[in-house]
Amino acid sequence: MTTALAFRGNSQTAQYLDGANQAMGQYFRESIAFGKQSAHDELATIWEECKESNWDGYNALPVQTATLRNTYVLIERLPLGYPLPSIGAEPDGNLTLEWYLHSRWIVSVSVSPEGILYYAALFGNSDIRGSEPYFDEMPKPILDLIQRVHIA
Amino acid sequence: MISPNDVPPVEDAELLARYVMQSSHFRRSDFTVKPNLFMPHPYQELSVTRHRDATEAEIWQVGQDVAEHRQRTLYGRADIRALDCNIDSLKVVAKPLSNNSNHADIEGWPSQKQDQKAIALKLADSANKLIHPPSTS
Repeated sequence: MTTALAFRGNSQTAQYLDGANQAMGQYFRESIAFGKQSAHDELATIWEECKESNWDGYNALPVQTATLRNTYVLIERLPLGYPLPSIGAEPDGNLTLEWYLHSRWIVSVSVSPEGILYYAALFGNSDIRGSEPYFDEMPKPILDLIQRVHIA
Repeated sequence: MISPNDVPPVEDAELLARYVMQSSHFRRSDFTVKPNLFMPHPYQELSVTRHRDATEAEIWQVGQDVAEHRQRTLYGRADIRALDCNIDSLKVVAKPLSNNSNHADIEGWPSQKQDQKAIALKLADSANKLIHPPSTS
């Protein structure tokens, strides 16, 4: 880690700072992992309920393992400070990540097995929609919408 | 229920029920329904049941029958006015079934997924909160 290396040296102060930095790094890594556990638990529950066809009673398609994997990675790599989404599923087998303040201030992102994210947002009377390719990170346009939901 | 021999077109003032058979289709925090409940795939229409000429017991019986037939749990229903479904190219069309003369479809969905999602957000916003079945409320 670049920051840790910067503290390396022979003095007692340098050793103290190095140790403190490593301890803090571990603390933050564990905090982030622990903080996301609730979203991962919800994802696991949805997966169990929706991995067979007709899980909604209206002939929905099953959620594929590739969709589960893509969703897990997106949650895991959500930048620090962003609120966790609520997880859901759609009849075409996509999983959804939802950030919700109220029913007219909301962002919903669909995660497909093919590597495309489809999103729609409602902010009062205006809606925003689109799609983005997925490369294991939440694309910037969608991060901006998530921020907007929680700035209100 | 509506007479199967005389099914009128759906009027704007009518209430429509969408049955909830998936636990993630509503928020337990405030019992509002999620947009996912109103996504149309795998068909290009969304199935609903009209309240018209039906008693409360009959509306629930339709939901119970569907859930039982499909071996699902009926968590409840969300009601929405037909008028609120007139978004973009959407329209509500009476589609009576042999076992449900009050059945209707919300048709005219766009083909693009993101456009469907945008409509589903608005339908969820217009829909009532989850109404629990009589046995669980």
